Amino acid sequence: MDIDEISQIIENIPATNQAGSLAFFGGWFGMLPDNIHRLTSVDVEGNALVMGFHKGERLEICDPSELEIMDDALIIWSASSINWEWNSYGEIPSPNNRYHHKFQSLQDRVLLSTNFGHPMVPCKDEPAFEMAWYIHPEMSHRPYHRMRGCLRLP
Amino acid sequence: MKFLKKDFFTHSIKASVFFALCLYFTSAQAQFPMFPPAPHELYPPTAPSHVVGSYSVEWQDTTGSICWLSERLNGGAWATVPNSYSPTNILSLSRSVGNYEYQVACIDDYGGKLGPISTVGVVTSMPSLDPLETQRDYQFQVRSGHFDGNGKLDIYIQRNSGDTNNGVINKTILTQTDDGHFEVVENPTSGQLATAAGWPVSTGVAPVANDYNVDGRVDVLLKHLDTTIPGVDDQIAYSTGMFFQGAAEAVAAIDFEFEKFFRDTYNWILDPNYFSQAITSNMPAYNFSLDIGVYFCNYWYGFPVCLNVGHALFEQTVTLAMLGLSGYETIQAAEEGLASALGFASYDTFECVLVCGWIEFYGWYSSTVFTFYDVWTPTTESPGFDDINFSKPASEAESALAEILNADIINGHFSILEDISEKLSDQLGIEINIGTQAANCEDAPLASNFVIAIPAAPACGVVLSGIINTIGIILVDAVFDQVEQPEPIYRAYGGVVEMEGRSWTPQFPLLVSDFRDAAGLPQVNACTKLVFGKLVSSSGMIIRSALPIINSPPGYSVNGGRVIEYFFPSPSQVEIIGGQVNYGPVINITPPC
Repeated sequence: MDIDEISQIIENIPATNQAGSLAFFGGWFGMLPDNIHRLTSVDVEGNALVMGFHKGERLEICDPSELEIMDDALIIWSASSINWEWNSYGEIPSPNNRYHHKFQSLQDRVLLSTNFGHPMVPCKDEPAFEMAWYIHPEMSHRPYHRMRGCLRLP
Repeated sequence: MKFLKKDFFTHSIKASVFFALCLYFTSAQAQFPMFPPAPHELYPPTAPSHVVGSYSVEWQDTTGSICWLSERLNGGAWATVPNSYSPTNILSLSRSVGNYEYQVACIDDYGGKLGPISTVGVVTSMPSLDPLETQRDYQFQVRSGHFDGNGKLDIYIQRNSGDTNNGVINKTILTQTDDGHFEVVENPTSGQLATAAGWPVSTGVAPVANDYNVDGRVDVLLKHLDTTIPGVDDQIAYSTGMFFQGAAEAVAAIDFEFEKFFRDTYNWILDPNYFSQAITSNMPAYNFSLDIGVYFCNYWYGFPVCLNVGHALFEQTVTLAMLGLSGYETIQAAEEGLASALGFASYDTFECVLVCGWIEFYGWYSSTVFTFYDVWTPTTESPGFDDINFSKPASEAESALAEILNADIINGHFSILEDISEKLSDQLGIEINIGTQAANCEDAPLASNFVIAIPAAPACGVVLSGIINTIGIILVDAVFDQVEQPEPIYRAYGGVVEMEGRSWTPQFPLLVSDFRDAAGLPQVNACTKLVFGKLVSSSGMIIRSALPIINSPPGYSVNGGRVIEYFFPSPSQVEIIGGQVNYGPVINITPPC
């Protein structure tokens, strides 16, 4: 599945599912699957899948592959790098409160560089990216974990 | 010069190659960018709004793009500021007096990209802002006349003391709309202001200067406005707080809803179940004032016109509370309640008693037309509703606050608000902070608990009327709307945590001590903002005690367990109806954490 197909599939997700909590390499953005980010655009720029969200967030996934659309989430299992940018919520967007998490997938680990005070801990074995529109309440406080092809149920 | 065949051949070849290259590069441009991409988003440069002498303009880092700073003077043509190309992003400038605009401009393969504009006024001297004590003594004059030709009287306010450019209303025109509301005329011309300054003075109107939105500048309350313009509510015109801006920022009517806002806010402070009580008791109830009267008009034989118009046979205003009647949701219910209290079978019967006898009395006229009019006006919530769950200290505090609500907030000084804040804090054990006199967006969050009036600083683009509107939305949506779970639910957010999310609580966070710990908020939740939501769908929703977070990340733990959490598995189950939804203090609350 090439990047254009991935883009097309994401665009065709039902509108009600084009929003959810985001996870990168096994960590929820916001620590818990609590935030709701609404997808506003999907584009392909070279080898990068670029997604925009409703609060000006920008997600760039380079070399995405292994897309999986589950009942509860969209998952991209593999990517060479991910760049997630956002402005601190509740503040006037400005360059001063624009933050990023940049994940780079290496042979045996994932590197994170960030300008945000609370770094995430990426895990190589977990999906590079997930947007979960449904979260089972029992899973709302569990550590992130996802198995291929399986619903995430308690 | 000789022209050889060989040269001709050579030139022809060169021309063909050049032409081909041109074609090649033209068609290749889409695939091989000629310019680096412009930044994804451009922001307004940072610069002082007004300044004396030199100043700095700073803009975003555009390293890797081709950008520069554009400037124009007094609305003229845009020009590139010298030495401002990427990666430069700060310049010190020295300009003569004038109005300068700045924006970041970039070029990329899609053409040009222009950012938002920032304005700098270079002035010879900065205005002086008097302390509030002095501002409250400013003298204002009110005039009324016709500005826009809609047949409705408009208002002109002029200040006669203080620095004309200090951000307090100096000269402003308020136009009356067809429905009796007022709007500020933005950027009136000097001619319009001069015309309005010639209108007759409205001697009956009392302009009262006070800082109603606590932004450090006095606003102007127009009391007894109906002495000049019958039938309109008193109005508050808000100062912009911006130097060199003498027009009002906005104007708000002191109407029933305005007063209701303060009353509800106050009751909500005292009793976090205030709204839910209203719902469960099905009692968003009012007292009613009934203005009732009977007029007649009779026609004599041969005279088709009304001979005596407007004979008031009966005219009286009745406040139902005086009869011990209160708590009606609708006018129809009030009509039935009144009729019943007076011993009539129905309101129609009561009406007939007022009218029918007169019809008989005047029956010798050839034709008599009686007009029965009854105008019901809600006055206030029923006393029973107001007193719900008031403890004795709360009642005492209520009387203290009532002084403010009944006008002392209008005539009094800032210190009265401070006194009230202290009194309520002592008596109720909750902190109520009224903000500072000159706060702005950045330092708006001031207290750890409920705030009666946080500064609605002009920089935030929010004025008190906006706050009232938001509260009104809550009232309408949460109190009067018969939906599944109508009481407001709350969510604290900020930092990495979005306004929209899955976890909410029905408990008002500002009344929960150490809300972060009580609600089990993660470390990355900055908890600087609060929003109100309304339940749209409870499908799959679970209600639980807030869960703890133990040592995650290492060294960070919160207990949870002290507030109820509503968890929504899917998006769109909550509609956000108010709170700090924008980038400023839309509602007067401080962060819960």
